[in-house]
Amino acid sequence: MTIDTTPPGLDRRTALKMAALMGGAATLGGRPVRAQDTARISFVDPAYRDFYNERENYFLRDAGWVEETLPRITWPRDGERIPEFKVLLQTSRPDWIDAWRRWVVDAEKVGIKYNVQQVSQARYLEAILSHRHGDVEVHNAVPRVERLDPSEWLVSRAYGLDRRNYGEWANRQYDAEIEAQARTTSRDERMQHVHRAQAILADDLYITQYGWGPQIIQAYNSAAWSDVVSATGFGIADFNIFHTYLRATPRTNRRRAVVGVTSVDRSINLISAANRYRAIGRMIYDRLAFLDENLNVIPWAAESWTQIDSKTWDLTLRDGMEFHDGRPVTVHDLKFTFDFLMAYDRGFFWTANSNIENVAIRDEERRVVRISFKQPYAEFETYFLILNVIFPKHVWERLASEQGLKEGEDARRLVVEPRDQIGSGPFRFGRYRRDTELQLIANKKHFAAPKLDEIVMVVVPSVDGLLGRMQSGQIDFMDGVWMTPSQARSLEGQRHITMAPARDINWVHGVTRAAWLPWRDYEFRRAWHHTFDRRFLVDVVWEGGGRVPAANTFLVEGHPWHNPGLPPIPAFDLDQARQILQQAGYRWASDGRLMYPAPTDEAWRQRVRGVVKPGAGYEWAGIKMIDDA
Amino acid sequence: MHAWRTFVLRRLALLLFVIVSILTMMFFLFKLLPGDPTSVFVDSNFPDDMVQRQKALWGLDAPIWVQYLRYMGNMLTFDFGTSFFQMMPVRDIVVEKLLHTASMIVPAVIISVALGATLGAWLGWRRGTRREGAAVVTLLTLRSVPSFFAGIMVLMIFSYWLGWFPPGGMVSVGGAGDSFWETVLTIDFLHHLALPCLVLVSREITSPALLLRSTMLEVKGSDFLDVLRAKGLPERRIVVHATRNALLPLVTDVAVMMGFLFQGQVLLEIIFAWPGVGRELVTALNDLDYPVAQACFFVMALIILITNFIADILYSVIDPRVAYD
Amino acid sequence: MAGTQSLRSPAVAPSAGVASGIGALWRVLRIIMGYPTGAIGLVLILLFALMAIFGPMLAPQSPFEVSRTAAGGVVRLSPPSWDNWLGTTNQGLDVFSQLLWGARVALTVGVISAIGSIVLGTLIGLIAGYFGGWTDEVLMRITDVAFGIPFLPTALVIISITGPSLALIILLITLFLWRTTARVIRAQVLTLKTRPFVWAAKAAGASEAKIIFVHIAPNVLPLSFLYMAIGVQGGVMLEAALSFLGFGDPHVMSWGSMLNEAFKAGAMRTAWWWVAPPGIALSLFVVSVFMVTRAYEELLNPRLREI
Repeated sequence: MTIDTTPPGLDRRTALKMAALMGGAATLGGRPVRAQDTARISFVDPAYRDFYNERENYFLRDAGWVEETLPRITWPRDGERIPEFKVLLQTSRPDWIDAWRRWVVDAEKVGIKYNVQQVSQARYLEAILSHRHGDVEVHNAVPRVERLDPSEWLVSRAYGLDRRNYGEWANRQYDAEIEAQARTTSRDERMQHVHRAQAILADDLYITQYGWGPQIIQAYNSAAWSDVVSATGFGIADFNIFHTYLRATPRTNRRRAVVGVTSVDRSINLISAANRYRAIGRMIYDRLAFLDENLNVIPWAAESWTQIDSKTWDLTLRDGMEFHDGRPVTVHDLKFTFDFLMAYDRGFFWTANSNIENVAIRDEERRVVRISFKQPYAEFETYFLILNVIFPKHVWERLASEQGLKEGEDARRLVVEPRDQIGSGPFRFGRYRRDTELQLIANKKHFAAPKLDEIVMVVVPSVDGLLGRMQSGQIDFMDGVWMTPSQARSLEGQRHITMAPARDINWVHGVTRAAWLPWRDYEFRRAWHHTFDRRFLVDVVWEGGGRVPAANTFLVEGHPWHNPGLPPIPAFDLDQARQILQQAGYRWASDGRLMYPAPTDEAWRQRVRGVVKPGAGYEWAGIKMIDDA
Repeated sequence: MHAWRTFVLRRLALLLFVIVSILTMMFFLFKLLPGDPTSVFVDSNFPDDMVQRQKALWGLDAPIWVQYLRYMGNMLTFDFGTSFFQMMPVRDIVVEKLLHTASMIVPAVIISVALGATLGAWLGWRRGTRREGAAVVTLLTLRSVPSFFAGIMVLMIFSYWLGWFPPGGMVSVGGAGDSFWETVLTIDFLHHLALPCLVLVSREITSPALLLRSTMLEVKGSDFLDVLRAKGLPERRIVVHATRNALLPLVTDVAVMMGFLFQGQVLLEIIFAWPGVGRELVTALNDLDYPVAQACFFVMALIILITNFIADILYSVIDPRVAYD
Repeated sequence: MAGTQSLRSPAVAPSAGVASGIGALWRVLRIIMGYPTGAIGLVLILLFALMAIFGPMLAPQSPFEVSRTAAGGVVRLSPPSWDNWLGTTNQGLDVFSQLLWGARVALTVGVISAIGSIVLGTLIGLIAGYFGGWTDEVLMRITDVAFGIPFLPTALVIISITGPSLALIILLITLFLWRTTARVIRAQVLTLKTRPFVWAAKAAGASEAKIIFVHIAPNVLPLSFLYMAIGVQGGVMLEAALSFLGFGDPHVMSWGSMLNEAFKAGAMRTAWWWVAPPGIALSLFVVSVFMVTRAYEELLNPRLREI
């Protein structure tokens, strides 16, 4: 019996012919998965099986995934070598390959071989989303305001039932902490769960941190501007936390700030926007709450909020707000925004708003709206309020009807022309030349009105171009651009330029394929950790602009939710790695390649079956080894 | 005349055949691209039906042959669909980018041909002199410098060190006009155009110069000039006459040069931050914006084909004996 | 790519009779040495070849080895010095070593793709030209399609599908370079086909394969050599262009990737010692091939020699 995945309306022969013609492309929905293969893959907890079987063309329903997984959960023969580890790196991240070149050489000294490939971002994303990336998933933190909630990475990278848990790690104790922290609405209680989750993650050696950084070094034209604000994790110039653009005071007559960016986002519909416009759009549309430069939640369009119970909040809208077209902001607009985002396919907002049960106007006079959720919602402040904005009802209703958007359809396809970019935020949408420039005009009536008059973003795609323009005084800020120490040095001695360092909370990590051999063996993971010279990444590749990580956690030192009591990462020590491997029963072939322990090694088999750290009280819930006996 | 018409018709049929072949190749090529362009948009925790709806929106749920026919129809009518990211018709995007690219290339080609032809005529006339030798070597050397290296050097010297020209872009901050012509017809634009144009001209001048030089040599060696000389025409007038004859092959050269530049300028567009069609292709590929990438690719190929076609036809007009094989 | 423009439709005088390929090559080299520019070009090419073969052995460091000070610090962005003849990059890599290793990458790509494209192009040209009719029609229409394909865009698309590797880049360049050769060789074969020695061979009952490879092929070889030289140069330039765009093989350091690294690092404004060497090496290599091919072209085109 086979599960047929060919598209309807195309008989199998034609499909095969076309597949041959195209070199077997995946576009036809992939090859069929053989039922006898998937039957061999079993899970400790059947809930995981359902989870991995849910999605068409993915995981258990992806022949490629099954094919790659089977040999790695089959007991190896006597004398079998540890396979070459596939690692995919993004072309757009040159620091990864620069570090890996060195790490590959080091690992070879203990008999570990890698196959490191550099691929485009597109290909990389496709690979990791379908868990077809190989052995180690390498990733970096991209700072965004709505990603500061502690659960962002804890859930997406390690929670057993999240598809972005790329190593298919399933540690029951960890998952329990994650579920608990999502339900509690007490910050202290949540902090405890988050700390415990970090401790388990660091202890089980599932992910590894390669470096904390790169360091944030930014420069600005201090001859023209004073009172810049440096925000943790973002620096002085970042549309995500735009306090600089609100408080910067001109030193000259020029009240226009020119901001260099490497690209301007291509969609200016906030619902379909990519990273940059998600941030810029929130300068135009007020979000409900915001963060200060130390990443504490502060009221924004919502003046205050009170919790009624674990699922319900009352939200009070700030008084006296106005949209850019002069109409007042009312609770009707707020209610409309949520109703709209729930009625239509809403992309980016989906994760935050899929949990909403109901939004009701409670007191129009005192501007109170009651929001109730389907489940207890821990991320209300740190995620929900920060992500959501207020759309003017009169504009978006018109857009939807003009463009014939029907209920349930995708609101991302709405075209929002510059003239319809009407929010209540501190900036108005000004001139817009795609790929060239974008002007934001200060809204002087705003409660946090900017001191400057306007911002002009200019697109300069190369770092050299940006630095050159900075040096010649043509731009005042470089938004979202962090310089390397050597780039910073090249601007030294320019009297109009001041360097502004900021606290960073970024990282680059690697996720092991915990469900596969040899990663299933905790001792192997421990030895593997010892093969990384993290100092090389920090000192050489990042030119010293970064930190050697102190522990395996996403919430790095400096992050408000960081757990300071975590065990350190096994340090770079190839002898130590070799010793651990030897004691764990691993052997070396004549060519120096590492071999699995002897099949009779019961201690090893025990560890492989259990996956999680032995003796720590953890339980494995995920993929089982195929037992031939 | 009849033979010529058959020739043109045959060329036209060939042109269509090649366009269809390239479109077909492109279709499969883009189908091979990372299978799921929705992956960038779709959070992997979205429910399945949401993903399916997304695919339906982009027509990715239809059988492949339906997708192929639809695609062929769309491409041949220049309907490139809607950009995944920019939520606007791809045609508008591509036309705009194409204009930007043209605004760099067309002036460069005109200058190259004008300067190159003059220089070439002079070189042909002065064949064998020391200066001529030096000039030819210089031209060839300039031609050999990779355009991106030339671009970097020119930027380094004239922009970063001397500060005479802006380090890239089409216009200064706030300089972009409301329409293409409003943007281009400014001194500011010319100021930005100077450096990329310099790089292009330094390379493209070689071909017309050498072409005119050798044609000039042929003309010079022919009886025709002896006749003119016998008539007692002054040397300068004879040069003008000779040049006029040599100009014809130049026209075909210009056509080919244009086509070639339209696909090769991506390097310069990146170095000089020029928002043209080549840079758009690179960005679209990174963003997985397939409709845009496809359209950019197609117009680049189309321009090469059409310029080559024009060159062929022109050549047949100039020299019917050669072209009709 | 760059060379074909000035070399469009060269008129070729075939050497009469049969000559061995090696012998032809030797004679050609001797004649090229007779031209001053040709001689200079040949010497330069020879130097580059030596650099590619022995450079990596002479290089003080591997291309990815970090230069350290006595105290263990990284020697970052150092201008040329006694320890690093051409200075270092932002990560302390030795530019001189990278330059030497880069020669090997450049020439490997150039030579292999040139040979590949010449073999492919010559074969297609020979077969199409000799057999004519449908064979010719099909092969030439394929060539027409190939001529319509823009190289850089196509290469960018394909590399973003498969991921960059040196083998793929060589393949792509080969598939791009064969088309010109095929057309020129075909035209040449069309005239050779009518020559008496071909008639004679036919009359003597020689097989078609024998006529093609023994009687006709040696006569088109000089032309193939010319296109091979142009091909090497084209290959080197195309690899550099792709690497500069960041589509090169990340595991090797070529001249193009050196420039790309410098561009990405934002070091163009300051580190001339990092930018200039690979750029100059590339330009010099292309010039030297130009000198040789021009001398050779004049040799193949006796009319040019007369004037």
